[in-house]
Amino acid sequence: MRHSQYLLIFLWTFVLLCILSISLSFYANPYGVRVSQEKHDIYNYFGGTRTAKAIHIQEGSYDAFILGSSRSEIGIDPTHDLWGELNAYNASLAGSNFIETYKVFQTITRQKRPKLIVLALDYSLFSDARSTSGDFNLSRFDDSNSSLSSFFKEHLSKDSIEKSFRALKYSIKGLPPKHYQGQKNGSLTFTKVINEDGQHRLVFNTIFKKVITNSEAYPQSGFSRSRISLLRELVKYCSDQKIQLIIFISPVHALQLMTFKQIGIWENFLSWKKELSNISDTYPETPIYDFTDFSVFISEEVPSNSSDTSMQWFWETSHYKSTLGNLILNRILTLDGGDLSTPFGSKLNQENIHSELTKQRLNLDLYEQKHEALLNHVKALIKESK
Amino acid sequence: MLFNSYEFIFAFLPVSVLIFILCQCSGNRRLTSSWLVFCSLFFYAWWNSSYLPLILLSIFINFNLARSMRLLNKMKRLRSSKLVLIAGISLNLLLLGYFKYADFFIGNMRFIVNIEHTSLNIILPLAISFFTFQQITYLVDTYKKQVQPHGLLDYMLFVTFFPQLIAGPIVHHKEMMPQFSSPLFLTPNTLNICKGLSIFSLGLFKKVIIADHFALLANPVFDQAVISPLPNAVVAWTGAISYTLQLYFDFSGYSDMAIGLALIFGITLPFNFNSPYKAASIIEFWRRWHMTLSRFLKEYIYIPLGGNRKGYFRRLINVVITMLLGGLWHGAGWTYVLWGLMHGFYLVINHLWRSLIPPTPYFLRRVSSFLGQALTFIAIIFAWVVFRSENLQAASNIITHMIKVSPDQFTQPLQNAPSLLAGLLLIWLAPNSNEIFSKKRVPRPLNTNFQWLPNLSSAILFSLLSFTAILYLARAQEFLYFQF
Repeated sequence: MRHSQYLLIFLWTFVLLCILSISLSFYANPYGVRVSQEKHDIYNYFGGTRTAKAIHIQEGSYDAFILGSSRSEIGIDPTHDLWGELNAYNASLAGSNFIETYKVFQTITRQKRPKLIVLALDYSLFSDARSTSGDFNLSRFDDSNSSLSSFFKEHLSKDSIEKSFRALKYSIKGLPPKHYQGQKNGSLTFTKVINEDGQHRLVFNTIFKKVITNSEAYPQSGFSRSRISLLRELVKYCSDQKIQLIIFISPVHALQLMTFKQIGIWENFLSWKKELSNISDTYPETPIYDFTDFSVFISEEVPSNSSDTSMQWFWETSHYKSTLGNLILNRILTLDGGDLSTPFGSKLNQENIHSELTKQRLNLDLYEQKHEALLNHVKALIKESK
Repeated sequence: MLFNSYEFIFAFLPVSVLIFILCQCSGNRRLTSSWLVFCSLFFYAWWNSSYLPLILLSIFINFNLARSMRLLNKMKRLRSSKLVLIAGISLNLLLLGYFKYADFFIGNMRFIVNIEHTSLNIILPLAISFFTFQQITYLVDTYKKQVQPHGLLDYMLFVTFFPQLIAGPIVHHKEMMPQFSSPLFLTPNTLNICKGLSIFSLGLFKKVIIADHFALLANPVFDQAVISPLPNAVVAWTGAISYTLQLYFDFSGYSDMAIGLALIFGITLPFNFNSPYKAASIIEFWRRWHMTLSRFLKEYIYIPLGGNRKGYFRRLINVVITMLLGGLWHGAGWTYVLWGLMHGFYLVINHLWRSLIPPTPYFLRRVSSFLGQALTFIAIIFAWVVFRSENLQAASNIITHMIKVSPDQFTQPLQNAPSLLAGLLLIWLAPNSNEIFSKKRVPRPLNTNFQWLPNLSSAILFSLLSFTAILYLARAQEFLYFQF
C-alpha cells in the first residue's frame, strides 16, 4: 500500500466517525438545545444537567434565575404566575456545592443582565468536603472550557453519544420531560420509589443515606468559611450592580433537623445561620428568609410504616414538593409576604437572630418530646451506622 | 496546551502541520525552522504567557554563554571558558532552584530553626526541569568542544521544539542539531507522517483510555491515605498496583505522542521506554525506564562524580548520590528524596549481588530471570507508593497495609481485578511502541503480527484508536510528568 493511501484511509475513517457522532448528537439533541425561540422554555433533556443548563442560560432569554441545590431544583417552579413579567429559569444544580453555585452565578452575570436572582441555600452547600460533582467540569460553567472544547464535549464525547442514545430511547417511548425550564420533575424522580417502597421507608432511607452516613454533606468539622466569603462576594456584586437578590434557607423536614442534633451538627447549623444574618446586616436590601423554622409544614406528620399515603409537602425529609415551593414563592415574591394564614418562614437579621435561634432550639426539643418513636428510630439508625 | 486536548488535536496540530508542509515545499530552511519555533512558543505560552519571557531569556543567555565559551576555547583561554561554564551552570541551577526548590527549602528551614516565614507560593514554570537540564548539557558539551557552531534559530528550535518541550524525551543536541540541518528536514515525507500519526494515536490511547482508567482506581486510595488509615491490604495493593500501571501508561503514552508528533515534522526523537516492568533487575529497569533521563543522569552526574573509576565503594556511593539527585529532579519534597534513595539502595544491592553471587547456571536462568522480574516489580511498586504519596505519613500508611499479611487483611474481594490483570498482562506480554514501530523482531510470545506496516488494517486500527481516545478526552486528566 502506498503511504499516501494509508494516510487517506486513516484520516477519512477518523473524520467519518467524528462526523457520525456529531450528527447523532445534533439529531438526538440530548441537552435540549437549538429549539426554536418560541419554544425555548420547554427544554426537555435527558442527562448532563450541568452541561444542558449552562447552554440554556447562554441561549435562552431569561431575566430571573433560581440558584441552589436539588431541593430548589425540584421544589421551585420557574413558571409560577408569581414571577409575573419575569422569564425565570431554574439554574439549581443537584448535588452541588457553593463553589458551583457561585460559578453558575458568574456564568449568568457574564452573559445576561438578570433582574432578579433567588438564591436557595442549604447547609450542605457549605461543606468543605463536598467536591464538584456531576458533569460540572464538562459544562460551560467551568471557565477552563473554551468554546471549542465545549463544542466537542457536547457533541463528540462518550457522554454525548450515551446521552444521545438515551434521548432517542426516551422520545421513542414518549416519556415526559425530566426537566422543564430547568426545574426537575419531582414526580418522575420520586413517585415510583414511593409507590414501590412506601413513604415511611423512603423517609428513613433518606435520613440514613443522605444525612447520618453522609459525612461529605454534613461533616462534624462544620461549614466552610471560604464558601461564606464567596456568598458575601455574590451578595456584594448584586448590591453593586443593582440586581435584586432574595436569599432563603430551603426547608427540610423537622425529622432531618432532629437528626442533625443527634449526629452533633445542630449547633454548627445554627452558627451557619448566624453567619448568614451577619450578611443581611451589611446588605439590608437583601432579605434572608429561613424556612427551617418548625412551621406546621416542615413538621408534617411522617406516615407510619403501615400507611400507604404520601406526604403533602415533602417527597422525603430532604426534598420539598412544588406545593411547598409555591408557598415559598408566595412568601418571598409578594410585597406583603404572602397571604398566609399559617406562619411560615422568618426573615433573619442581626436584631432577631438570637431570639430566632433560641426559639428553634426550644421547638426542636418540643418536637423530640412529641415524636419519641421517631427519635428512637433515628438513634437506632445512628447506632447501626457505627 | 495538552497533547490530549481538543484545542491541540483539532486546531493547533492540523494548522501547524499544514503550514509546516508548505514551508518545507518552499525549500526555505529559515522559514521552516522559524515556523516551528513560533508554533513551539505559542504552544508554551498557551499554558501561561507570563512565563514566555523566562524561557526566552534562558535561551538567549545560554546561547550567548555557549558562544562566549566557543570564542574563548578558540583563543585557548580555557580557564576563562571554565569560569563561563561554571557561571552558566550556576545560573541555570539558580533559576531551577528558585522556582522549584525555594519553597521546599524555606519550609524545611522553618521546621529546623523554628522561625516564622511565609512560603513564596511560586508557580513552577512548565517544563523548567527539562529545558534547564537540556541547556546545561549543551553548555558542558560546548566547553568540551563537542558542539558544532550553529545559529540562534537552530538553538531555539532545539530547546523549544514543542513535541519534547514539556516532558521530554530529554534530547541531546547531538541527536537534534544534525536533523535540523539535514536535507530531509526540508523534504515532506509521507511515511514519517503515517508512522508519526500512528505512534501518536497509540500514545493518546494509552494515556486517555488506559492510564486515566487506572488513575480512577489509584487516586481515591492515595487521597484516603492522607486523612485516615486504609481499611486493609487489598485496598492498599489495589492503589499501589493501579498507580504503577497508571504512571507507566501515562508517561510512556506521553513519550509516544511526543515521538509521533516529532516524526510528523520529520524529526526522530529517542524512544524513552522499553517495557521497563519486564526488567529482571533494578539495573535493567533503569536501562528501560525514562531512558533519556537515565542517560542524562549517567553522563552528567554519575560519570563526573567519578563513575566506577574511583574504586568499588566510591562507585556505590556515586550510584546513591546520582539517584538521590534524580529523585530531587522530580520534585521538591521528601517523598521524592526517599524515592531516589530507595532506588539508590536497590541499585547498590543489585551491584553487590552481582559481584558476590556467582552467575546462575544456564539451566536455571529462566527460573532466576522470572524470580528477578517478580522481585524487581515488587520493589518498584513499593518505591512508586512513596513517589506518589502526598507525604511520608501517607506513604507509610499504605506500605504498612501492603506488608500486613494476616488473613483478615484479605477478606475483601479484589475489586477491579479484571482491569488490573489486563494491565499487568499488557506490561508483561505485549510488545512496546519501540518494538511495534521499529524493524526489530518482537520477542515471543507475541510475534511479528504486532509490527506496524502501512496497510489497510493498520490504518483502520490506529484511526479507531484515535477516535476512541477522542471520545474520552472530555474527562481526560493532566499528564503526570507535567508537574516535574
